[in-house]
Amino acid sequence: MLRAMRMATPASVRAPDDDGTVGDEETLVARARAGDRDAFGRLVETHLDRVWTLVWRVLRHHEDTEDVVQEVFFAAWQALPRFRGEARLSTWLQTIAVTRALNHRARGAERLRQASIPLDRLAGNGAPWRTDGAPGLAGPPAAEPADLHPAASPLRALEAGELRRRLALCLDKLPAAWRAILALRDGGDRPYEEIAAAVGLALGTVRSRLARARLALRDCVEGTS
Amino acid sequence: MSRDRWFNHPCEALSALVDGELPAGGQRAAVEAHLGGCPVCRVLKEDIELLGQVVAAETPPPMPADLAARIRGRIDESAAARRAGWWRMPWRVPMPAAAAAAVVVVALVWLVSFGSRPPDTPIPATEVASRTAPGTTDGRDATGGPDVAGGRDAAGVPRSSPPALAPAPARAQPPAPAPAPIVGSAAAAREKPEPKLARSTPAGDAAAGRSNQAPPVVHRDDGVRPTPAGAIAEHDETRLYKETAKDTIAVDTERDRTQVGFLEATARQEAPAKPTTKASNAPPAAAPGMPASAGARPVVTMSDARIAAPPLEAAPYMVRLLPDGSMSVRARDYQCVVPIAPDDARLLASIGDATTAGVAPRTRAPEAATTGATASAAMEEPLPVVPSPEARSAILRLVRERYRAIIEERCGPLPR
Repeated sequence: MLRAMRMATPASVRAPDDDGTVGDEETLVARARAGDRDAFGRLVETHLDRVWTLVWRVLRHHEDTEDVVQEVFFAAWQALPRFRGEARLSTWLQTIAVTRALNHRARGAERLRQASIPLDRLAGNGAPWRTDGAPGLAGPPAAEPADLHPAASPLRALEAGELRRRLALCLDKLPAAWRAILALRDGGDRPYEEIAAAVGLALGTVRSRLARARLALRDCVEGTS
Repeated sequence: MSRDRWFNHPCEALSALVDGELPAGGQRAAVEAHLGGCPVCRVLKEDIELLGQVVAAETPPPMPADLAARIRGRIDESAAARRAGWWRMPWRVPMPAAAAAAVVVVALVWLVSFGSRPPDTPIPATEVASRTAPGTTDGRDATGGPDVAGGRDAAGVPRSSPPALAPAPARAQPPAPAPAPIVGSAAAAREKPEPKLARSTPAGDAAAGRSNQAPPVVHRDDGVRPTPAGAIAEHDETRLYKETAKDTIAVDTERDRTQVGFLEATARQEAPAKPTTKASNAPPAAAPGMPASAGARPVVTMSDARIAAPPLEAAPYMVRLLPDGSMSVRARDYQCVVPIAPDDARLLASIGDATTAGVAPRTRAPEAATTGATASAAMEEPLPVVPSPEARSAILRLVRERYRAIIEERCGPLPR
C-alpha cells in the first residue's frame, strides 16, 4: 500500500555514542545543547532525510532545497539552547523546515507568479502549465468535467506513470503554502493539530485549506476547471 | 474547481474524513450518510485517497552525499567565528593593553615620521625645484598639513601669486608684483652665480622669456612631483641648492633681517651658543630626544621665506611654521627654531589657515619696492595674524610645554 510508504515519525531516535554506548535522542539533544557538535551531527544524520523530503515537497527545487535544508539545521543549532523539549525534535525541525521553506519561496518571484494565476486556471483554459517557462510541457489533455460523470473518475483511468507525471506538474502549480500542508499531511501523515502548529494556522484553516488543495490538485490532474 | 461542487458537497468534511480527522458524531454520520447517496462525493473521496497515495509515494531527488558534511562544516565555521569574535570584542581587551598599544602606535608614527624624513636632514636636491617652484605656497604641505592641497586661499587662488593689496590697511603698499618664478631665478642664477640668485627681477624674467604668471602649483609630497616647464636638471638642482643655501644665510642687510625674520632664527639656530643674527653654515646640534640626524638640519632658503606661513601672534611669542616643518619662536630679542612633530606642524598650519581663511593675505611689502629698488628684492613676508584665544592657548602649550625643553636646549631660557 502506497500510504504505508509514508515515513513514520520515530518516537525516539537511538544513535550510538562515541564511546560505543547507546543514547537516545534526548541524550543527544542534551549534549548538543551543551555545545557538542558531534552529538548534533548525529541528530542531523537522523533527521536529514525527513527534512530534505519535506523541504523538497514544499519547494520542489533541488538547489533551493539544498540551501534551505542547510539553513534549517543551522538555525536549529543556533536555536537549540531555546529548545525546551516540549515537542519532539522531529516536530520542532519540521516547523523550522516549513517556515524556512515558505520564507525562501516568499523571497522569490515564484510567489508573485503563483499569486497572479487564479487557482481555477491551473489546468487548461490557456493558462500556462508551468510557471517556470519550461518548454515542451503542455497541459494535460482536457477531460470532461468530473461533475458530469460522477461515477467514473478520470484519475482511475490514467496509467500510473502518467498520473505521477501529471501530479508532479500540478504540485508545481500549487501555492507553496498549500504544498506545505499537503506535504505534512499526505507526505508526512501528520495530524491536523501538528500541521496547524507547523504552519502557524488555526486548525479549521488547515482543514479547509487542505480540502481546497486536494480539490485543486484533483481538478488539475484531471484537466478540468 | 467548481464553486457549486464546493458548496453543494461536503468537500471539506470529506477531506477530513479521509484523514480520519472528522470527529465521530453528528457531522461524521451526516457525511457518511451523504456519501451513500452521492456518487460525486464517493468519486471525490476515492480521488482524494488516490492522490494522497500518489503524493506520499512521490520521491524527492536524492540529496547530495555531502550535505550532512556541509551542514557540519557550516556549524564548525560558526563556532570558530564565534570564538574569534570573543577576541575581537573591544570590551574584552584590557584597557591597559589598549593604552599600551596606542602608545606604541603613536611612538612608531613619531619615529617613522622623523626617521624616514628627519626635519633636520638636508632636503634632497630633487625637492629644491619643487620647493622653489613658482606657485608653491607657504610650504606647509611639507608636513602633510591641511595646506597640502596647494596652498590656495579661500578663493582657490594660489597664495604664491597674491592679488594686489587693498589700500585700506595702514601698512598697505602699492600692489606688489606677482612673485617671479623661483625656478626661473634659479636658472638665471645658474647662468650667473651671483649671491642674490634666489631673487629674480621681472626684467630678468622677461629677458629669460619667463612669465610672471604663476605656473601650476607644485606640491611637495612624497609622490610624483610635477615639474614645471623649464625645470632644471637634477644635477643643476643640486648645485643650485648648494649655492642657494650658501647665499641664503648671507643676509647682510637690516632690511632682510627684518623682512625675513625666521632667517634670523635660522642663523641663531645655527649658532646657538651665540644668540645673534649672525648667520653661519654650521649645522645645529640635534635636539634632545630627536634622531641623531636631526643635527643636519637644512638651511632655510630665501625661497622658503617667500612661501612661509604667516607668523602667529601668541603673545609674548610670535610663532611661525617654517616650510621645512620646523617651528620658529620669537619673543622680543629671543629667537629659536626647533623641529616639531608633523601633527604639531599640521596644527600650526591649520591655525594659520583658520585665521587667514577668507582674508586676503597681508604681506609686508619689501622696502625695495618702496624705495624704488629693483623688484628682485620683492620678498614678501606675511604680516602676523592673531589667532583665536583657543588657538593661542594651543600655540602657547606647544611653546611652553611640549617643546620648551628643546627650545631652551637650543636657544637658552625661554622668555615668559
